[in-house]
Amino acid sequence: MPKLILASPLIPYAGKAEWTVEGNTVGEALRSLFQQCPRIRSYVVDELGVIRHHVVVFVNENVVRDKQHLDDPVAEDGEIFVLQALSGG
Amino acid sequence: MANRLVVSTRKGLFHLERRGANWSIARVSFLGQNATLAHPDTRDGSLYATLNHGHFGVKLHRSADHGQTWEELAVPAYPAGEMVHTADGKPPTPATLKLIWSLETGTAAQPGRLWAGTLPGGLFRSDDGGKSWELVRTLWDRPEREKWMGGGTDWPGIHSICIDPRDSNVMCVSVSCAGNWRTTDGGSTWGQSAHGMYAEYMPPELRTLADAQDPHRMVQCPAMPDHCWVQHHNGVFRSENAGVTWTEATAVRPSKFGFAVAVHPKDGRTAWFIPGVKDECRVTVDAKLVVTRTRDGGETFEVLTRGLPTEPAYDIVFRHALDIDESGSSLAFGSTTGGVWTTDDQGDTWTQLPARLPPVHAVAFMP
Repeated sequence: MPKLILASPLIPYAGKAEWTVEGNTVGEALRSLFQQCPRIRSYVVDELGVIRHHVVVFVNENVVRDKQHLDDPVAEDGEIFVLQALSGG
Repeated sequence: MANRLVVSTRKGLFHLERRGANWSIARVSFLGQNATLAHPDTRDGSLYATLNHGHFGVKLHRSADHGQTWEELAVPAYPAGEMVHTADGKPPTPATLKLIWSLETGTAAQPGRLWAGTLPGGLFRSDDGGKSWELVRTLWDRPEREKWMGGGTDWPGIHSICIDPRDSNVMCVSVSCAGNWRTTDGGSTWGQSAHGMYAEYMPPELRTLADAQDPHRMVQCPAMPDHCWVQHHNGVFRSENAGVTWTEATAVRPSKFGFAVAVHPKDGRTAWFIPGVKDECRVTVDAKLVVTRTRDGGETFEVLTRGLPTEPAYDIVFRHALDIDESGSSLAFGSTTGGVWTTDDQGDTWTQLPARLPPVHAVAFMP
């Protein structure tokens, strides 16, 4: 199953960095994370479910550009990184 | 006199306590985080704190033990499909929570009631202590909202919520830039009440348009609630009818621009302001950090300087960064350069906190 890794600033709110998630797309993988850890949802996406402006998500080495629809495919052995964009300051 | 003060800063929430004659830092909550506002709840002694994580959004926390431990609460959430339209030509954007810019608690008869004023302009109400929030649609759906504009930000925002202590159904929310909105029926209906203000930044024929006004901060005297004050973008205004109409206090000096205002809790004719030059030059007048005070309803103003910097000082004090305690004798303010000053004699003399804090967003005395 895919692996999802949270940036270190998110660990206090999630409890740990590394999560095993289910799903074939970024959106499904994130929903899997939020099911396991409801508190982290609002730190990653806004109330409309869009990835926050200063949060960047990678699938392996590819940036997720459509932060609203989250259709990027995720392989069974894929890695998803949820990071803080440096533009956030 | 209050013995506890919380200072919300760009890099943490600082809990100050008075030991003898001096204030000092007793504890820091959320160190390194952007703490934007703290609001004490006089009903149960708890403290609410808002954060605006640069990356991870707005959060709300509550402490029942003076900041030793915190519980994260829900934050207001805009329903899907809501849009923010502004009158300044910016394209419409989906409404999402940008900031909790004001917080108020209900009365003792409303134990779970909280109000949150937000960017981009929505007022939210909770009746379960912040576990859930509801958008006050009666205000949000006003057709005039399409004429609102951002004031200091891209979006309009509710920075002040004044609940009449005589009747909690009477409330006024103050919006940059959208004037003041007042209800007398608990929020079922709202009406514009910035009448008497004027906006120098608008074309001449639109300067008295109430919806275009930019009150920076509104306060209401708890013991004399007919007396209200607004520090506006281009003037100081006062009301003697609980915010229904406003007149300008033209004697204010050394300038009429600023962000913060505090009113004496027992004497509505006494108020304090911290001036800047003007909107296109938001620094202190002549590089002097001063506080101004009126004791006669704005007829005359004193410029207070004792204990404030004698060297050049370019501090700006944001709209929530000046507070007065329940006694009316102690005030505190914090500035964008991290200075914090307190007084116990209504501003005749000031003392600087012996610490340099991060930029200050807000200060609040704990009752």
